[in-house]
Amino acid sequence: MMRTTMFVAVVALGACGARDDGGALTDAAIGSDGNGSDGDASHGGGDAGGSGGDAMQVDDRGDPIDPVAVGACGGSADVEATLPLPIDPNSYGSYGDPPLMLSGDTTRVIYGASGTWMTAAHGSASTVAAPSALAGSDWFVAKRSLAGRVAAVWQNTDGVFAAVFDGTQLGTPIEIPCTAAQPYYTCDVRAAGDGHLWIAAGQTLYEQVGTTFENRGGPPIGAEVFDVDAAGTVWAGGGTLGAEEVFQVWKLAAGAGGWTKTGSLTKTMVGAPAQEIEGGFQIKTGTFAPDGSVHLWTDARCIGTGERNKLQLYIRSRDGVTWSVERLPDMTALLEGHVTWSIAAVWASDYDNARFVNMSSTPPIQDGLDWIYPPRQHNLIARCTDQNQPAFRRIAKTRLPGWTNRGYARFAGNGALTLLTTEGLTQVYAP
Amino acid sequence: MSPRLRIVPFLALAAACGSGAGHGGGDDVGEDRDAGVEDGGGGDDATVVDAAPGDGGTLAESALCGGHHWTSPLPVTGTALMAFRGKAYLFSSQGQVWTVIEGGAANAGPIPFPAGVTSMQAIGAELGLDGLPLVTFRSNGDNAHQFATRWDGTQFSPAIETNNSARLHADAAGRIYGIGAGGLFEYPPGAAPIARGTPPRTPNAWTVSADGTIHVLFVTTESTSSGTAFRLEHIRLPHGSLSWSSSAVIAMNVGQGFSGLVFAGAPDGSLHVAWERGGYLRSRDGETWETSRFTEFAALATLIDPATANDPSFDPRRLVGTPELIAAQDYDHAAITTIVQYGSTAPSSTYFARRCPPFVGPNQMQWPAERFAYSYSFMISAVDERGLAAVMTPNGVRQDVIDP
Repeated sequence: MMRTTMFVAVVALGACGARDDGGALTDAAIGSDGNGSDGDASHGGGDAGGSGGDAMQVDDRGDPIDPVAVGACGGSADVEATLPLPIDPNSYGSYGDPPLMLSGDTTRVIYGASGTWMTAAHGSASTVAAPSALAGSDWFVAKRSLAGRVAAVWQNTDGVFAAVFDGTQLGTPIEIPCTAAQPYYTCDVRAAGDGHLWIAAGQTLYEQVGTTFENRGGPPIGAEVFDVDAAGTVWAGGGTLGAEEVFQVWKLAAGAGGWTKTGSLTKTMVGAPAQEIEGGFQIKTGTFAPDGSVHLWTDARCIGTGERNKLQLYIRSRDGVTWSVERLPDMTALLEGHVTWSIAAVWASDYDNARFVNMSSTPPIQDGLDWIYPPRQHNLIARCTDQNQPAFRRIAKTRLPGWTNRGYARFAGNGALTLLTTEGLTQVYAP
Repeated sequence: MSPRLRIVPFLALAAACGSGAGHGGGDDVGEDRDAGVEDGGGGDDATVVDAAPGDGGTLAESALCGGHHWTSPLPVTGTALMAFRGKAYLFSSQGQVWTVIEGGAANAGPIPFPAGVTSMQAIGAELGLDGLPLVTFRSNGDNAHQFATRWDGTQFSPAIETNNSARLHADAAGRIYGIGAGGLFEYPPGAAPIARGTPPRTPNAWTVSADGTIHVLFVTTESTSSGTAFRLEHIRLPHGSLSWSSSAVIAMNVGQGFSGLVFAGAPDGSLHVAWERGGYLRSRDGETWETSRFTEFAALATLIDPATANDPSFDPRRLVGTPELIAAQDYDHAAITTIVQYGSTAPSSTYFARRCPPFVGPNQMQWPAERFAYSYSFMISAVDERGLAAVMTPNGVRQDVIDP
């Protein structure tokens, strides 16, 4: 089934300038939703706001870009109709997180103010009363761990709370040792296989022990990717700019008194491609997969006013020791002349199955001192095997209306994609 | 190779108690006890501790407050000092030779390197709580790697590589701990390192107590109507655990802060903290802290190296300065070394203050102290297991020795 919805394009003026689009992995904080890692697809202005001129909204005169499945390696995606939402994604701040909870094919949108949530699946939705604990919450985020369990964290006037969600019901809330509000990475949560919670407050980890939390300190490396697997092992990955080891993988086994380094990605392993990336090598985002594999993406970013880098790398490892470095296809060719602006979300179910969403547009056009920014779109790209060769294929795209509007992409554990934009909520199901 | 400046905060100077007299009761020998066992006495009796369980360490009776005198300065120079069993070891900057100082005599010779090591630079040395010196160094000008070794009075143990740029401490069982690149690492003797993550707060100072508990101090601030309020907070991580304690505020002030923070454990399990302006805390267990001061800025330091100042406000007898080292033999016996640089206004000084009653000053709080000439140097002092110190002055190295 494929459904489409018409959108109206928006053109904005701005410049590919100094502003990054969410930060490289190395300066982002802990953030991964189990076997997927999400980013802000288009915080205010995205890459606009640089030195070339003032970004501004102009009239809706771009070409419509429908949400559409464009084919996959051996399958096609099912892109549902966009569901209107009574919330504004622009309100979540530059690095905020939308109030989504994904479980299987179902997406829930939490409306804290009204104490309700919308349950959407395959293009149909209903809004009912949410668990009472969520009533009055002013922010909410949910993450799926490698253990396959979904945990939610939210804030209300009584504090910051977390609970495990079993797909139907929210468990007993527990107040967590994290008082920071959005963005999500300052107060992140994962549930182990037995349901006990790990909290990442900045770089400090807390483990639930009964009804309280114990402070476990931080991982040995600044954790940019953090997760907990079914056995209760905590995984942390991160790197240091300029260091030979650009990404280290550490684990803390359940109950252990120390961390174990499983391996690292080095500059030498990345090799020549790192030197070819316009603007330099920089890991953007990554995720662990339930089979223990690690998946990393270098970033798409501005390398000069109106210019984007073309070469991006996808790097994966089964064990953190041996790494495979692959070049992403030329996005200009893959995306019909588009340039890419950022990676919005990543997902991996195992070593051989990974997906990501990027944001793209046709190249910005200089108009005197200003830059005209075309409408953007989200592209769901899968790594797959095509005629026995590894390949990256775009399997769906949807419009991201307006240059200054925000859009969010989130993967569920099964790879189902939810896109939240000012147009509403779009679900994409791909085999 | 480029030797790195390392100032090891543990300086132990054994000097005269006040003017060279022993303190009241200070020469009494307490009960023999194992390292890590609390000194139950609340007085100022000297204690005897088993300084090095199972590793050949000696029973160390604190001589900090006994009768003693300083030797004349020996005209030798170096970049780092280590003190152990009455000897001072002065490392040269080149990393090949050292000068061993004992009883007023100095003998230069090659450093007996650990196996496989061909030079030792950027030395950091302090006494581990097992009674043996812990030495950190770099080798062959390689600043990307740091190593550690133990000195037993005769030879260095095989070197181990530690996390880079880590400040190291050793507990009573000889386990080495470092906080640096990669966070906190534990190096058990003869076993693989244990990565214990990063402390939940960036330490302003940290140490290990005899039982292997990691103690971290950090400073937090808050704006108040009276000015900025500073809180000195303490968290700890028991050995074998990955559960950090909640923080406890152990000292507060408004406007002054906690600059020059130094922190050390003693073999009896006690902890000792000092900072600028005379702040001092001690604790038997890390839970209950006793607050006092080590100076009232009273003009009472004994001038070991004479000095005069035209401006009375810079009277060199006044115990002032930034703490560089705190060394403790037990709960009751601790010494603090400070330095103060005045430039042209007054002679720069090193002070060695010892917690030896009777205390002096208007409120009878100030510790007896000795004053030395100071010029910029790498590691100016060291204290051995008995509290006997060596200090490097512009005129050479002085040693504190027990009176006959």
